[in-house]
Amino acid sequence: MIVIGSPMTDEKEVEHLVTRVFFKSIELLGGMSKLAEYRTLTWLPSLARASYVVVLKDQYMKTDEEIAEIVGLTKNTVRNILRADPELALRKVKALEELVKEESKELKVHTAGGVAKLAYREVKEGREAQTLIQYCSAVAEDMAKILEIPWAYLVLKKTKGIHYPITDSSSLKEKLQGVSIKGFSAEEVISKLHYPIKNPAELIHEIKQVLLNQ
Amino acid sequence: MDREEFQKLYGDGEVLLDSVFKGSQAIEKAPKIYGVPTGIEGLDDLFFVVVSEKGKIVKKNLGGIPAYSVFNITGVSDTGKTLMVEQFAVNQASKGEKVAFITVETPANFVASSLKLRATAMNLNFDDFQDNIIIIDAASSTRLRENIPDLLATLAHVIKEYKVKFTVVDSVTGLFETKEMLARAVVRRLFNFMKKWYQTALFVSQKRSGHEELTAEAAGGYAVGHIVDGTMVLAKELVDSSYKAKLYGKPVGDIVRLFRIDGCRMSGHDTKTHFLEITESGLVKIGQPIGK
Repeated sequence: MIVIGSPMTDEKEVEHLVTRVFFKSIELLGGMSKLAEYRTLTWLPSLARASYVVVLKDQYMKTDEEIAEIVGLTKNTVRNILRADPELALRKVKALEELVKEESKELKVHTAGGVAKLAYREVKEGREAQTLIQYCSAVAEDMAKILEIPWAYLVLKKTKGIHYPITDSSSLKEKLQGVSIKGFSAEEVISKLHYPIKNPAELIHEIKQVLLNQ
Repeated sequence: MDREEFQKLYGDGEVLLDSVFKGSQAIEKAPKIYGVPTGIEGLDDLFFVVVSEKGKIVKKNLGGIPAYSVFNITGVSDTGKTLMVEQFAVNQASKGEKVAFITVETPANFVASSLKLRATAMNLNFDDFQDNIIIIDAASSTRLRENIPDLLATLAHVIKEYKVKFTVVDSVTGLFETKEMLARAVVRRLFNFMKKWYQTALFVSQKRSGHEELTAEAAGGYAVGHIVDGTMVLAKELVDSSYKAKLYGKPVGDIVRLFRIDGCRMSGHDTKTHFLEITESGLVKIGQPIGK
């Protein structure tokens, strides 16, 4: 008989997910530079707490009491974070300057909760923070170089800094102008891709599909 | 991300083309339904499909529960829920199929000895096929029991590694023991997982003392039963009046065990209430309908 008595997962999984949601929350609020400019870096602790709470609730189905214990908040604060309305937070994020005026010192628990919920949803749907995507793209570029796949290396190198998800061909065309991919002009290949493209891996995959069909 | 882009992305909702299928496209992906024998005497004949043969509509016996279905097996304590799922696991394993058995209440070593007893009663040599059963011991591991993502990741690993087609969870109630308000979310996630991995699955689900005996209601409320494909209800009743004595054909003071199938989304099924028997050797048998 085969008995499996402990989880076959990485202990660090909660850690990574919370951090990814945290990064995405920062991005939703304009990024580190905007936070610094508006003198609102003080928002970060509330964002970190809210990200932690939302992940524990939605992904790990913890009770409010358990979450309060893990994160070190009162049960009431946990409830307030979880009750936050992401749509309201979205409106606030869109009018960032007003939000800065209203909640300059500390981000309200409700707002932080709403932003974290938005960020969690984005991450779950595959729209990671740009910081992570750019880093992954750089690693992939190195990998393509090591594995000696020139076209993939070139595409990743040239598209550095492009905003994901790529929703249409225009930004790609601009970045890959004049490039030839395995003997085909980049323009031709780009026009045959399926959009939106969520990340560098999808971009390479899409291009490969087109090349295979040529 | 500038505002315009934001609007573009989140503005008035997004069209999710990936989730839209034409009927013909969906049917291409649909698995073929066939019967999975359960090893429980009298149960396999209670499921059927309707097919058209030579222009006539014919009711055809499925010979087991529909493949890829997810069933709740619910009842109060000592009604034979665990026996049923053990028989199912042993029966499939003896045929060379791989079965994942998630135990949430009894530690793995006790489950193993119980499965062995069941095999002996079914006249099978457990040693011949014991490695076809993979026990995931969530009873002994708090992390497996309390963290659904960890449990599902582990089960996914087991399904891939051993090519498992059948999954038993005894019991789902144990996964939300102290947080019943999450019952629906837990069961929903398990159900989606089983569908994603094409598992034919049985979930043992406890009844609470306040629930009506022969309904599909289980811990977490009726809503839990709505999620799964169907429910098998197990009950026991004390014959405490001459009316019941006449109805069940048993003397006053006896206990009768009852069984019925409460809905099955994936095939037709018998709708009568049947007698259920637990034999001396510890096997569940489904008997005649009551009143017959």
